[in-house]
Amino acid sequence: MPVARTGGRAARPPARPVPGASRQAHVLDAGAITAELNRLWAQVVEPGSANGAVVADDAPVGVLTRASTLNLTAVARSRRDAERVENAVVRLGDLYPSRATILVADPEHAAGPDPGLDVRVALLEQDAGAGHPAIRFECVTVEVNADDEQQLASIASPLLVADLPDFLWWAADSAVGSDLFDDLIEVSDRLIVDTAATAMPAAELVRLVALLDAGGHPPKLSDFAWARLEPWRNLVALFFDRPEVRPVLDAIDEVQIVYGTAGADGRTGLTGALLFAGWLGSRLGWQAPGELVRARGEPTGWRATLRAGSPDRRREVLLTLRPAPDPVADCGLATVTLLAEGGASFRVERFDPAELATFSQVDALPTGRRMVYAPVPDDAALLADELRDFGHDAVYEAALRFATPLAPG
Amino acid sequence: MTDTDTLRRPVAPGVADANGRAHGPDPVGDRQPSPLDPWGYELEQPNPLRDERAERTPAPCSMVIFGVSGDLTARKLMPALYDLAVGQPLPEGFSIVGVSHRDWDEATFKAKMREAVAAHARTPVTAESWEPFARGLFYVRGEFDDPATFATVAAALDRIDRDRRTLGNRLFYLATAPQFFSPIVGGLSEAAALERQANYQGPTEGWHRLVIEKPIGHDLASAQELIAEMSLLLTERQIYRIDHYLGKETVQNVLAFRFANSLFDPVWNRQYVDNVQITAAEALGVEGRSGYYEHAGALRDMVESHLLQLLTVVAMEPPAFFNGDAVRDEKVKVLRSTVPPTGAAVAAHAVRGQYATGYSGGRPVPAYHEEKGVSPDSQTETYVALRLGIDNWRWSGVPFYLRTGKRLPRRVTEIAVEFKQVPHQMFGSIGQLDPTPNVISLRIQPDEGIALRFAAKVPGARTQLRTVRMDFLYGAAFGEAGPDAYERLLLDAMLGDPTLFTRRDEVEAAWSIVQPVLDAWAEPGAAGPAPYDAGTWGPDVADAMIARDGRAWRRP
Repeated sequence: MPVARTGGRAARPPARPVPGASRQAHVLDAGAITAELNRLWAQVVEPGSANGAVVADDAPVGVLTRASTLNLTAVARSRRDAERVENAVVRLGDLYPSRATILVADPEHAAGPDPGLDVRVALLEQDAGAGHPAIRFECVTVEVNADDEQQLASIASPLLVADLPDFLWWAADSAVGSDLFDDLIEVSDRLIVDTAATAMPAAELVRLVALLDAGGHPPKLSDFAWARLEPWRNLVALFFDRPEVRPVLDAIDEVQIVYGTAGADGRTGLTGALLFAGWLGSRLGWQAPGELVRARGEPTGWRATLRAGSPDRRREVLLTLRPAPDPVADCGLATVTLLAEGGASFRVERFDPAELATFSQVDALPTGRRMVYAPVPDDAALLADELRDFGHDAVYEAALRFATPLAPG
Repeated sequence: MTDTDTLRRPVAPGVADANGRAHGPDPVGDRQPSPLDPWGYELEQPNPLRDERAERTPAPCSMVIFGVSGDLTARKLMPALYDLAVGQPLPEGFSIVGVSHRDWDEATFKAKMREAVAAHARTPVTAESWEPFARGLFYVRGEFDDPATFATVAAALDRIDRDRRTLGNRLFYLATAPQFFSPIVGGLSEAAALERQANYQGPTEGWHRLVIEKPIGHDLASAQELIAEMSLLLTERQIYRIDHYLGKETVQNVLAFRFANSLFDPVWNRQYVDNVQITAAEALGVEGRSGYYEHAGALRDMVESHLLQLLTVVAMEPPAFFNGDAVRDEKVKVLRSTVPPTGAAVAAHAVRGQYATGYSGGRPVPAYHEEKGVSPDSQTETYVALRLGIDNWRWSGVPFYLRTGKRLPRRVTEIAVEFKQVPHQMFGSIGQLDPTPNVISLRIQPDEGIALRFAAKVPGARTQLRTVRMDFLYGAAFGEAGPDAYERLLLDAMLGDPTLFTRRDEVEAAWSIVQPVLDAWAEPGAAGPAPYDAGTWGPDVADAMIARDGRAWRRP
């Protein structure tokens, strides 16, 4: 039986530009961008209602549906990243932002002789299903040379549509530590990152924890590396749904995680593996006394000894993390194996890009083997799921805190 | 410390429990305490690897659908199950046993189901997603009055429990005509496939539950009889009576709108509300359901179930918790406070109509009594309008107008709460305000959403006012209208959450409201249904009924 939510919903065709509703210009400020958007809407608006707007009482209902959902601001630092973001935004499928603003600070972007910003604005639309009007939303791309990055922050804030949740997708390397980030995070409710895509994944985890601990109103965090674990967490939890298997949780003495290192753009599953270990550790009340060390005889593997159990019945759990350049695992996990005292074992394994296989062996129960439909999610599927999330993910934050001290420096 | 406190206390972290098993320290500092059943008994320790944010996953189980060759299965059940399987976790080993009298083999059954899913599911069917789903599909051919059918079902379930580890958990769905309810439940009990279980049953092991569709009976007495009959074989906790309106996102949103916002409750009462109008209009005619509809009519088909459910969600008091009994207790209280017209008042406060020939969407359509399968002198009502009162502190004196009909101008279901006029018209004639009051309309379908109507100044040098509408559209705010009602309800039934299902006292209370009207209409000499032209908003007498109160029907 299929279990994966992420990426499980079959893709709709991508959103398409509303004919005639796109412009490209070199402008001086956000006001010019807003004015241009208003002009585009005036061109395409049919008589009728606009969501959240005051309209004539006798206007027909639902003639035009303008997304009134959320603001998405995305940051990219290369044309390629920007294209990846644009590609994900038009393929969100169900939930579109009211306005997607893509800020590109590209070292290779040629700054023109005049001051200002290179901007593309467009209205896009997605069919909402039979009998429903198409959903329309705005996409704004602003490009500057990386040297002028700071200009972007001053653009982003005035472009946020009022009274909507503000999502910041940092689709560039390390999210934390730049002035642009500091400015944008101030006006964002939720930060979306992919720790698998950062050059120094371990350091990124530390930075995220620091962000949570910075005081005030810390942003809510979404991490694609964590979201990729969803079917894995679900399947491991399923092993222990049966009450008679649950006591085995208190006897686990070894956790082996193999992660992929073959993601696009050098993305690896290391942070996913750390977060998975963090999830198990935080949910089961384990403790991590120190960071991972190199596994003996295995130049690429890591291991750590975790503490579990109560003070009077302490036991150790051996954690090993091993990379595998398996193209099927991509930048997610390849296998997770849990071993327990008494010989019980549980394993989830990436079988192919669409399926996970599970195996379990517990005393007195028949050996369980199963194939589960759980495709590797792409950016659009991951982003679509994260845009539905509005609260703090306490489970992720606990896993992140557990994983951080494990992360090798 | 009270006894309840003792029961509530979860096993302390790090302390050995009664079985000598030590528990680890509280992992994230906020491990949820064990769930409690309504009587305060502690359920078993939850799986610590499950968290509230994760999708709700039911325990492994099988589902048996009686009437699997019917329209409901093809259009609703199977597509909903497939959408659940693809979009949301269904348990490991989840299996479906289809039962019908059709001479199908398993391959035909799977092919038919795939066809139905491809036509009606939200998710496109692909080989990768269909195959794992289809591995859990099984077929049993049999008549519902033949004991051998139930023995075969029981054997199939035992085999599935063994092969697919479904733990003896069973959900039986009766997608059949109501006359088969008792024979099927009786047959399953005889075959020991469906056992009466104590009112409290542990959450994961060996539960047996039954889902039945409306109508529950055809009047108060028959409903009570059916309920009593079922209660001999099953406990109330095992019976899930579906009213799919309650599974609709927009109906659930009425509760969120009322009870998750502080803005509306202060005006949601007799002091500010002038009247409430609940409309469920259909543009279609009887469309091949004449066999059922001739005996049911609009009052039984729509008012007793869907419209009264809408009335309860708009009128109920805030429940203390969003759980099965707390919500349903409040709904029952509203129904019990609802005063139906009785005796002579029925003529004044209840209108029945029947559509005559006319035009629907520009196309000429026949009268109801000309439809196939309908008696030429049929007295069945295809339109009902009712004026109900709710005698309680919040609503005393506020009329609730309910109307439903077939062949009305368009398909629309909405609840409109009309507010009283301002106490003083300060703008007077210079304002030229049309006298339309503030209205909050909760649209259930289509164009799901909420609209607020209020007065605003027309731009210009003159002080001229007019009413405008502020709209919240579900589709625009969330990008999609949400899952089908059956997805939510089937998942809830598997999870054992009865909140959105109808309890027996609710069914009885609802029938008690419509029964006096049924009785009055059955009196010899009672006026028959008033004819109305197809494609109009109902008979003139319905307009006259509300006009007597100095009000008019909304044009939804």
